[in-house]
Amino acid sequence: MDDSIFFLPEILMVVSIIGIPALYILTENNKSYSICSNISLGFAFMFLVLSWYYPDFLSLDKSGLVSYDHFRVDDFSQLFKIIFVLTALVVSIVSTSYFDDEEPHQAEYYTLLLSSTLGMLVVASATDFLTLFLGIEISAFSSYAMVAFRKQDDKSTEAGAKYLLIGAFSSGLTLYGISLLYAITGSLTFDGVSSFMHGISNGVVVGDFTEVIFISCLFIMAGLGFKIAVVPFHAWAPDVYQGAPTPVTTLLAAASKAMGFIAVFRVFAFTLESVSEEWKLVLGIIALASMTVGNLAAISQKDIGRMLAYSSIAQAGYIMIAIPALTEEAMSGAIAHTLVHAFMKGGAFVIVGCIGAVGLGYNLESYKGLAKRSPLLALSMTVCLLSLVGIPPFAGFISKFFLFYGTLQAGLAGESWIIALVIGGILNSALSLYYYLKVIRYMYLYDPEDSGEVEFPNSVRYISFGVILLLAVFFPLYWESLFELCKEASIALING
Amino acid sequence: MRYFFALLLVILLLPVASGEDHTVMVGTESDTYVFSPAVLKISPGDNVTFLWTPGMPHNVAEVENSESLTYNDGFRSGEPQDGGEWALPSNLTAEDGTLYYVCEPHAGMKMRGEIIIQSAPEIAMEFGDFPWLSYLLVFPLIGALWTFGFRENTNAPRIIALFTTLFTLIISIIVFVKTGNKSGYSLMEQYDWAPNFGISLLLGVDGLSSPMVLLTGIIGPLTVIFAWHEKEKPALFFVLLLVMQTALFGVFITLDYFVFYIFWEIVLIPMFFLIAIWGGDNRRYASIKFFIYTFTASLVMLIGFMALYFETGGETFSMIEIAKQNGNFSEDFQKWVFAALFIGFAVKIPSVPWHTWLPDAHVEAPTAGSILLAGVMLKMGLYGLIRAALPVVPLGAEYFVPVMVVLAIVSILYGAALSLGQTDLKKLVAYSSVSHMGVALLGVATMTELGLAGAVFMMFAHGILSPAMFMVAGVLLHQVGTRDIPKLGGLAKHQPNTAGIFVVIFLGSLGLPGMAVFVAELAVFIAFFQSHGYWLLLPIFGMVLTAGYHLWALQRAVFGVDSEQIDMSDVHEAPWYEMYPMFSIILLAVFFGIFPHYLMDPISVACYDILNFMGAI
Repeated sequence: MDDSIFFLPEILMVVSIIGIPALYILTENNKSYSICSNISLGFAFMFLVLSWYYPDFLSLDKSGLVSYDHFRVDDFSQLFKIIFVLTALVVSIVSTSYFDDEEPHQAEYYTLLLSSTLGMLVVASATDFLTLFLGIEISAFSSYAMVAFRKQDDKSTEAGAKYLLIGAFSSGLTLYGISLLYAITGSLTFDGVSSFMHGISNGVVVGDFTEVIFISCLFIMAGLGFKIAVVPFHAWAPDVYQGAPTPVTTLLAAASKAMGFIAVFRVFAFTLESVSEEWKLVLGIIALASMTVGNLAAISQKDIGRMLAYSSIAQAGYIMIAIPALTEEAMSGAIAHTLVHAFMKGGAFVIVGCIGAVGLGYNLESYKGLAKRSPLLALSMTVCLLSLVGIPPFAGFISKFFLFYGTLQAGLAGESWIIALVIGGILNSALSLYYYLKVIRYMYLYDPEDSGEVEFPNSVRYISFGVILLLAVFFPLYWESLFELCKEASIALING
Repeated sequence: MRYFFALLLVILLLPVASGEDHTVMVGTESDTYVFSPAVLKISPGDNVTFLWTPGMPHNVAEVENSESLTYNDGFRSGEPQDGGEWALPSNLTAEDGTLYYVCEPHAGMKMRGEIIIQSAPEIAMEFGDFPWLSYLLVFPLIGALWTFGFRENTNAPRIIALFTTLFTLIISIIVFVKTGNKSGYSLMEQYDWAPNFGISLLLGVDGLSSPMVLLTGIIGPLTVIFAWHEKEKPALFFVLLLVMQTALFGVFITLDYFVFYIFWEIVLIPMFFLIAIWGGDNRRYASIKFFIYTFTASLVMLIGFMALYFETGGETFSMIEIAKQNGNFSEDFQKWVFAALFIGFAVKIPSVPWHTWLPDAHVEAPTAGSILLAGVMLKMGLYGLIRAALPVVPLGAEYFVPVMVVLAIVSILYGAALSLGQTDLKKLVAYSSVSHMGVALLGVATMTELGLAGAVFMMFAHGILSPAMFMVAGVLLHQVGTRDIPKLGGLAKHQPNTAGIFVVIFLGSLGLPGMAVFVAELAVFIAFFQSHGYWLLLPIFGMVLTAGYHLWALQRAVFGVDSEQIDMSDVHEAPWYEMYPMFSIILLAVFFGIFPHYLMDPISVACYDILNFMGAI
């Protein structure tokens, strides 16, 4: 039972999920809920960082895996758990300034936030399809409610309805794909399915399963494709990102997307790796379509939320190119870009939320003259956006370099069509520069439309400062360590 | 069993003991009376095998030199034979030298060939005992932070910026002097950054980069002084200038492709803001165009860098290490890589037809921005071409020589013709930059020592004189109120000293003997005449146009009757902070025009090294 300590983050989540409703009964103070959620997320974050850097301190054998039947704690899961908890913490802190004190149902909001985080943590550790599915659903159901949290607001309700319908549909697709796999392999664990697939490619298992595997891959990809919002399963993302309260959007764009990617990595890069011939091309096409459509559509957007949503679709396309490559380097590049993307997008949405909350609006025009109103927020937004383009020396360039580097290496060694994906990615980066620059231009080159004084909450300023430090100083200087982290995670992922 | 092991041992040792294998075809399918390849370049220790194409009986016999037709008791394959093969004795290829041979029966039909044995040139790498180059990178950054700390103060930012840039100027002079005329890289430093990828901060200067370092150092304080009375956000302005200076130094002193690319891109960010915040009316359009144009081009360049990296085994990004392996690159690979790199660099040069961002950026940029843009940033393109493309893909470069020549001549003529038609003085200078950089590109395209050296000298000369031209435009805007040439006239009477300086700068820029631009043009044209003969008339005609638009602009703007469109009582002499930079530039231009060897010597040594490396000498 000693190993239970590694589930401290999950346990903390569960305790506070029960605790916040209890607080609601005991006290009417709206502040107490956010404090409770901040504390539990903060402890979970500290624990995860400690267990990562000081494995001895917690007697965690980092190379060995602490495995229950359905959970596993390894480098891969720990790395992503840190991201999930950190994002949730940021969202929780930002939410306090986003909602004013009179906002009703705050206890429910923080409970949902924590249960959504719990779902993500479960996904990070899942070792079988059922646990994975369960985690996704825990997280998804909580976020359906969070998206529609402001029920007086038409857009929020509409977004919630859309998200629920599409999410439920995609879950059905995933489940159908999983059931097909179960039907032929008789197993639900990743290891079991993986060894069956190895058997097929080695000729140990006799029989022609090509079509079934292809169809189940297609269904699983379609289901998970909705979660990570890649073309052609992306149509919900702009509406939901625009309609949801911005802190929720931050969670969706940064953490929920990473969760979807964990599922994709686990399913395709590990479980179905030996039958990669079946799905490689499909994923490659999805990746290319996703980045091109995302970038093209983002150019004409007037709403910053929608623009960032399309940019997210494009970024998902970049990350997807590593999956057909299937090498350790490519996967670690994909993991690195998923992580850095969480910071860049999270950082950008925190500012978007702040600008919206102080009443400036969500239009691109509302960013005019931001540099005069708050140089810090404008600088942070600039760093996030330039990082999303992939301009050196910011973190986005480095992770994108890892990603393209690993994929290109795999393409040169193996199938040459993968090189085309990389070139597509590079050309798309140039294309994307235009719409990101548009925001930067609005912030620095125009005067504010109305000269009213605006107060920006302190929490957002601290977070923005942290994001600048992280993206412009810390990652660029210590990118070798970032690479080592991601490499360890990708070894853990690929070797199971 | 014993023999088997012995054989195994021999087989195992074989790859270690022997060099590369080359084959010379004796007669080909299409032509029976040739050796193919007729000229073979190998390294010492390589093996050469002659392979007969059946058809005619031939043999291989050594001769004295490339003219002689008679066998000289050297190596000989035997009596003429039809078909079969013969290996050249390996002791003949052990040392550097050239072997000439003919086919005895067909020597009269010019059936001859040669084998050039040449060991890879050694590159001298001297690691310094004091980190001068790191100081170049660090000081402007410290200055930038310092300036930012005093952003509320009115005087402090410019004083700190001036102090920092003067200090950096001293360091860059020290770097220039210490580099001297030595062959190879000096003052090298290496700091590991990402050993897994083979990326390190590898710094070093040679005769190619030291003039550029000096140029960046000189332009720094001049920019700051010229912008002494900047009123809008002065602190941010100087911070961006200093960051830009760091990035420019970085481009000129790194010898690692990856770090080179990073600095190359960082340059864009401060320049974007300089144009966007302090620019003219159309600055929003110009800044975005500038950024997107150059960023897209450098992505293409990055693809070229990655191709080089993977082709050499993916172990190092060091330019030196990669260039050492240039013998292993196939010709097709070299062509593609050179094309990718050339697109990246040509946009920065800028060469026609990728020049359209330049006039927009220049016209909209503030004068200090234009000074940096024309003075130093435009040099990045040609510097990159000479440093990062030529030594690594020599065959690709040779293949593209005609393209480069055509682009260069078109740039010279088209740039000059457009300048002739401009009314805005700043736009005129911008197009004249296209024309002048065309001359430099022409020098590179000759692929000779003199041509390359002329090109680098042109980069330096244009690097000091075009900022002076922009300063003239800036002075006109500040002291007269407009830089529109048709509205000007008769300024010489009202600001005689300033007008005098204008005249000298214009004459220097058009290539007056005794000033720096003339030396560069002369060198390039001599080299071009030697390599391409009377095609020289075309660029010479460009020079006539150049003289034309300079003198015409001078005559319309500075001399003649007083213009009625400006109020002459408002016209003043340029203040000290505009006068001194222009005057010091004139001094420099005259100095390097009369004593060009101070620059030409290190440049020639470096150019010789590069050509030697390419196997062109």
